[in-house]
Amino acid sequence: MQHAPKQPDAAAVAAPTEADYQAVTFRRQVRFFDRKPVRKALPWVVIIGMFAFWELAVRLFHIQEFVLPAPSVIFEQLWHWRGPILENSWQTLMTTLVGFAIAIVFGALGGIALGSSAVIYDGFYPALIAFNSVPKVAVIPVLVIWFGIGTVPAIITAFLLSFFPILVNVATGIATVEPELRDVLRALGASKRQVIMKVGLPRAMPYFFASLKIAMTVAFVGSIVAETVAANAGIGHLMLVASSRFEVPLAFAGLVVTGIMGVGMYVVCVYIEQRMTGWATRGSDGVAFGA
Amino acid sequence: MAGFVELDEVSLRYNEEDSALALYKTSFSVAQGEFIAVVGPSGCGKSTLMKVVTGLWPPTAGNVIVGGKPVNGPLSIVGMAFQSSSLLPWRTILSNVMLPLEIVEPYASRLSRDREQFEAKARDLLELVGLKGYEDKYPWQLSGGMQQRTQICRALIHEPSLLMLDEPFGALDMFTREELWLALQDLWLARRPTVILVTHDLREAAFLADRVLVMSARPGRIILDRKVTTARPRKLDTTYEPATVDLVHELREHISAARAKAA
Repeated sequence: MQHAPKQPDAAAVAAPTEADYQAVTFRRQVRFFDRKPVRKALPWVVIIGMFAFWELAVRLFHIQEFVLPAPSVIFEQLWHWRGPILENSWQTLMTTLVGFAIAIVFGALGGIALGSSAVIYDGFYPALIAFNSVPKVAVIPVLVIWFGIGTVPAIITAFLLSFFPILVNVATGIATVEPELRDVLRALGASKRQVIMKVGLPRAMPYFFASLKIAMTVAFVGSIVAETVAANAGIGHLMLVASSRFEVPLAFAGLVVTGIMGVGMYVVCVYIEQRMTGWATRGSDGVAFGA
Repeated sequence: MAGFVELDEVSLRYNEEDSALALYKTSFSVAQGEFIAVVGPSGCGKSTLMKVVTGLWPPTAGNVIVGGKPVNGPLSIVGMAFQSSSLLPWRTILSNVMLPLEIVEPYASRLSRDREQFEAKARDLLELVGLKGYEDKYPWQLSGGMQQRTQICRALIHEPSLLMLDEPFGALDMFTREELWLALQDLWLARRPTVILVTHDLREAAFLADRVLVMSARPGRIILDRKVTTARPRKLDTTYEPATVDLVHELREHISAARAKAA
C-alpha cells in the first residue's frame, strides 16, 4: 500500500482552549543580569564599588589628603559644611536653571526658524558655527566688564553653552522630516505654518529632548566655570575658596554635589523625555498586533 | 464634455540639470465619479503623475485642470494615500484619520465645536475597513495591512471629490489586498468620488477600474486607454473570468512591449 501523506485531523487542529493557553509558559530561564531588580541595582553597585575602590587605594598607598582625600573624609566634610554647601549649590542650581530655560526658549525658536527655512539656514548657520567655536570661558571676562561680578555672567555662560545643542537638534529634527509626511499635509492644502505645527514640531520632539540631556550638563559646566572666575557665591566659588585654603576635601565635596545635581537634572530630563516621546521608542512594552 | 481631471500635453522635468523627462506630453481626461487605474513599467512616472495632478509638483510644460480650474498649488479637494505608510507615528490611529479635518475647510473651523460628531465619523470609517477597537493604538502597533487601511480612511474622511491612490496596496499580501479591493469598491460605490489609482498589479487595475491607462517607459506617455465593462459590484471571482483574464493579458503585452522598447 502506498504511503499517502497523512491529512491533519480536523479535531486535532481545533482551536486551543483557555487551559492550553495557560499551559504555555516561558521555558527560558531569565538570566541573573536580565532580572529587573538586578538591572536597577547595577548603577548603585558600580558607584558604591567605585567609592570603595577609591577609599581602599587611598588607605593602602597612604595618599596625602591634600592630593586625593578619601571618600570617607569627603563625605565627613560634606556633612560638616552642609549649611554653606546647600546654600551655594542652591545658588548654582538656580543660576543653571535660569540659563538653561533661556537656552530652551531661544534654542527651540531658533531651531524652528533654522529648520523650516532653507534661506535662514544658509544665511545664519555659518555665523552660528563661528559663534559656537569661540571658547565660552574666554567670553566671561567680557561679561564681567558688562555686568560686573555676580550671578548674571554665570547665567549667560550657562545659556551660551547650552543654547547651541538645542538649536542644532531642533533644526535637524524639523529639516529631516520625511518628504512623504510633508506631502500628506501639503496634499491637503496645508499652509507652511500648519506643516511645521503638525509634522515638524512633533517630529523634532525626540531630537529636542535628546539635546536637553546634553544641554543640561553643559549648562552646569557654564555656570560653575563662571562662578570660579567671577562670582562671590555658588559651588564654583566655594570650590575655588576651598582650594585656595588647601581644604581639598571640601573642594572634592563640591565636586560630589555638582555630580549629584547634574545626575539629578539629567534624570528629570530623561523622565520628561520618556513621557513626551514614547512613540519614538515605541513604548517600553511594545506589543505588535497581527492582522 | 470636459472631464473632472484634464491633463493637456503635460511634461515634467524634476530639475534643470536633469535632461531626462519624467513625463512627456501626457494627455488624458477623467470624468466626474470615474475610477481610473494607471499601470505601466516601473519607473515610468506613475507617481510623478500623481504629484502633478495633486499640484505637489508644478508641470514643466502643459496644463492640469481639476474641477474646471487650473492647478497651480496643492489642492484641498484631494484625498491621497501613498505606497508606504505615511501615518504620523506620534498620533493614534483615530487622530491620524482625523488629521485632514484639522486642515481642510470647512471642517477645520468647525472642529472644536463638532469634535464628537467628527470623531464618530472617523470611528464609522475605521469600522468599515475592519479596524474597530484599534482607534487608540499607535501606527507601529498595527500590521502593514492595517496601516494601509488607516491611510485609506484618512484619505476619505474629508469626503474628497478626488481620491488619489499611489500603490496603496503594493506592500500587502494577496489576501489582504483582495480584501481591501472589496472594501474600496464598496466605498467608491457608496460615495462615487473620482478615483485615480496608480498600481503595478494588473488584476487590481482590472478589478477596480472603469478605465485602465497604460503608460510607456520613461518618459511616461499614455499608450493605451482601455475601458473595463464588467458590471458592478464586481466579485473577486470576476478576476478569473475570461473577459478579465483577457484584459490582464492585453495590458501585460502592452507593458512588455513598452519595456522592450525602452531596453
